Amino acid sequence: MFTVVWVVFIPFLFALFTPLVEKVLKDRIGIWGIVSALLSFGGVLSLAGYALGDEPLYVVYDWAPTFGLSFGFYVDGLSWLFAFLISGIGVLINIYAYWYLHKPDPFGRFFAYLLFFMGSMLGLVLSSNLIILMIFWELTTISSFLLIGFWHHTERARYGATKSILVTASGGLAMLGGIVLLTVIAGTSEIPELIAKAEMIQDHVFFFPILLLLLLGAFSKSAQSPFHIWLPDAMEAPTPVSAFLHSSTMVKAGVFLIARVHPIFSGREEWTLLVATVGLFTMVFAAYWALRKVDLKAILAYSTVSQLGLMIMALGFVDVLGAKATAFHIMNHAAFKGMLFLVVGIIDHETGTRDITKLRGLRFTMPKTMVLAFIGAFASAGIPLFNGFVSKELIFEAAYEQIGIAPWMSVFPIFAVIGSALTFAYSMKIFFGVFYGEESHDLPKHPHDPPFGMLFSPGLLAVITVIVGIMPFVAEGLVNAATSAIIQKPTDFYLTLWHGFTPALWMSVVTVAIGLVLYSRKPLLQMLHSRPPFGLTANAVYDWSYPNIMVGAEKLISVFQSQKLRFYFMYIIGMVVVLSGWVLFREDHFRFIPHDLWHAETYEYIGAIAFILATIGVAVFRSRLARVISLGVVGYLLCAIFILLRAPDLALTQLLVDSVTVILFVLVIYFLPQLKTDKEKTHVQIRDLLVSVIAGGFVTVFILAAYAHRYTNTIAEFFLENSYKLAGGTNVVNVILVDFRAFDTLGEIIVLAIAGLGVYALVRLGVQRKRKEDNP
Amino acid sequence: MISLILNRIARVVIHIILLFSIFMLFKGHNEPGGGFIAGLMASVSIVLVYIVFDARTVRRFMPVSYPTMIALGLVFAAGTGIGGVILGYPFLTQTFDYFHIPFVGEIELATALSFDIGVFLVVVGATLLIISTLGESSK
Repeated sequence: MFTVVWVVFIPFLFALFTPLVEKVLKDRIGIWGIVSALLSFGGVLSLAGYALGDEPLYVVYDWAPTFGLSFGFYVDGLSWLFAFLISGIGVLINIYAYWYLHKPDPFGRFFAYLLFFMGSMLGLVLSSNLIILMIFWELTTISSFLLIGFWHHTERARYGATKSILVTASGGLAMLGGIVLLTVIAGTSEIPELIAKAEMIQDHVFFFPILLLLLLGAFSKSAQSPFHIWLPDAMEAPTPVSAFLHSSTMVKAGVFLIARVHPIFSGREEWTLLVATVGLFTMVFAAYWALRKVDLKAILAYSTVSQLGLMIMALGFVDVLGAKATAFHIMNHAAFKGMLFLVVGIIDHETGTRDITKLRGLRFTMPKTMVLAFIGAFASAGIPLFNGFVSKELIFEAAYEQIGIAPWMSVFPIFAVIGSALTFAYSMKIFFGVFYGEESHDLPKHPHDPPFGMLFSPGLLAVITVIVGIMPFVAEGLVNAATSAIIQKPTDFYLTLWHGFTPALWMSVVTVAIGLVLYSRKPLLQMLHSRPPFGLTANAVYDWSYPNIMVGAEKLISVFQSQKLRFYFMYIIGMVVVLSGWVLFREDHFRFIPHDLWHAETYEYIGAIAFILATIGVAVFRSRLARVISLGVVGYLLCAIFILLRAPDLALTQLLVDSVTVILFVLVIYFLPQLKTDKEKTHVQIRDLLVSVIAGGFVTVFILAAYAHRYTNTIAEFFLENSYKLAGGTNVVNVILVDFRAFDTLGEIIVLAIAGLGVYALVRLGVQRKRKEDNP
Repeated sequence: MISLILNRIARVVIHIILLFSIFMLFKGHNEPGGGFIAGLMASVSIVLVYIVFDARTVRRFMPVSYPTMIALGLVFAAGTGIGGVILGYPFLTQTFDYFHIPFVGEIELATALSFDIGVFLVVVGATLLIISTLGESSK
């Protein structure tokens, strides 16, 4: 029970303490990361029973029960598969990064971000509640932003980081809309409960908007066209990050979401139409781009986009086969693509370049790396004996089945073959282009195989790739569990290497044939390279809109942020008058009970007159100091009123606040330049007077009206009655502050803290800048 | 130039105000007082030090920087809330109990007090941070 909480929060805790531990471990801080990942991985392994057995684990903790919000975890085949991949590959990536990073990179920060990401991603896949899922979803976006911008001194890294957060967070916003709508119509945000209500949701008017919004989130996260543009630019991140976030785990969050909501939405035509066709388009389009690129990481980025498209397409298919193929391919892709990225990291690390036109003949100098690259490239190409083949075969089978459902669906098998042929071609290009041919001697560094630590992680993934490729049945249990979680029905099938002469096999044969033609006919490749494909690209749209949005936002902000305190006050007072006035009017509360308003003691009259005089003084005095003192008098008189009304707490607070305010004002006056013109223009004065009179008049009316509507049954009774009983305090005001309404107080002190730090930062910065200007 | 009278009085009064503010903080649950009031009161006493003496004296007087104090306060306040969560109650569930201590008599201990200490620290930290920042940079 507790293990699942442990699995998610261990990485967060470790990330939090990284700065402290770094002081002890120094450059060996990577060990901290490895330990944390191992602990999480161990926790995930111990949860295997829930995933592979029949009964999923479902734990719910109350979060805000009054709002029906809970903090729950759900471990079934699907979420466990992902958790297994995230924590397992997390271990390998931490090991690899330990050797990969160089001084002067800030090691501690890197591992803290990496663990932060790992925790968020585990939370995302394990949470049982869509709202919690959404929070973790955005946390992964933020950690991805931080990691892409890790080398923030380069322009490209900053560009890539900004782009990724803008694209994925916009999708996330759409998704939040979808989740809120879904929660409203179904009355719950717990995924198991939503699945039980699938029929009701499918018949609801809002079905299509919800689906569309959720898919927007999933597509932008999983880099589906046209939102794929952020992923190639995200390759500015250090390679372990690209391998971890941007190929094997985070970008699969969209695939995960689609798989998770599969039982809620699938079965309707809209589902297939949206999911499968977007996946199909992305797959073909990105594979084509991968073939055009010359930077190894860019090729892999587009290849990842394309493979994600393949998985999403298969999830869109109507029957069980698609789910099964996706579940298996998620696993296989994580292994071989993660490995390929790590291999590219090694090549980059040891040769100093990733440009495929410069890299040649590395087979002599980097033989061990070559073996790994061979396995990765052939698995990606879908050659038998490697895991990619088996799952791709399954996807072909699923695509072929679609022809029987509707004639137009024959586009799926056809384009699946075309996309895979392109994949075959670029995979060959990676392997043969880099490792064969004449040995190049103009590389920035002298190439050689890396230390064992960097070979270990890709090596282990390579072993898995081959084992699953030769004996696919080892993955049967896991794939069965994940598939039955996706379609919510128990499944029982076998995975084998040899299916007989099925249509899928012939499709594979055709794929390889076309792929070989594409790869070996250089003129054909050349033609692909030379022709610029489209005028209007998604990237052009982004690059045009980003600066324009910035300018637009600035203009919009300058409308209501005039940077003059006077206007802010006017907005606030105006809103108060308009909104509460409107409510009073609507509820017909402009009624007053006849009451002797003038009946008061003499000293009360004196106080009131002093009050009025002091207030007038604030407005008319010339000198600022006099105004401040006048304001202080108003405050202390207010304090006296509180004492008269027997509110010692308020009086005390008012007294102190006033003293502090006066001190603050005096200090601020030191700062301000002398008033240039004491005399305002007449129309400004009239306007200000009008606003003041309206505000004052309204408040008077409001108080009189409120006096006439004294309800006997107010919340005060509750507090008075229960203050001692429930909270053990006789000072009701304080009990409200620290107990009944402690959450509000917490919010208030946070605001206070932010205000304090804000003043500190602003003034300090201003002083520093001034000093710099004075003595440059 | 600060007058001698103010200087002499301040030396005595500052301690009294500080002590009184702590008194206010602890009895706030049952009588007028509480973290907010006590925090303001403590701030005023330290502002008095600023006015009568100088920033260096204050620094000698206060072991922690104001931002640290704010952070500590938030840790106290939020920690009180999280404590409840760890024990399985909703966030910020407060509780209290009475203890009997020999010679002192019965006293009440409430988790609200640790929350109030958090409020106190944030109020003191933020108020003094603002005042000292403005004050020091206006020189």
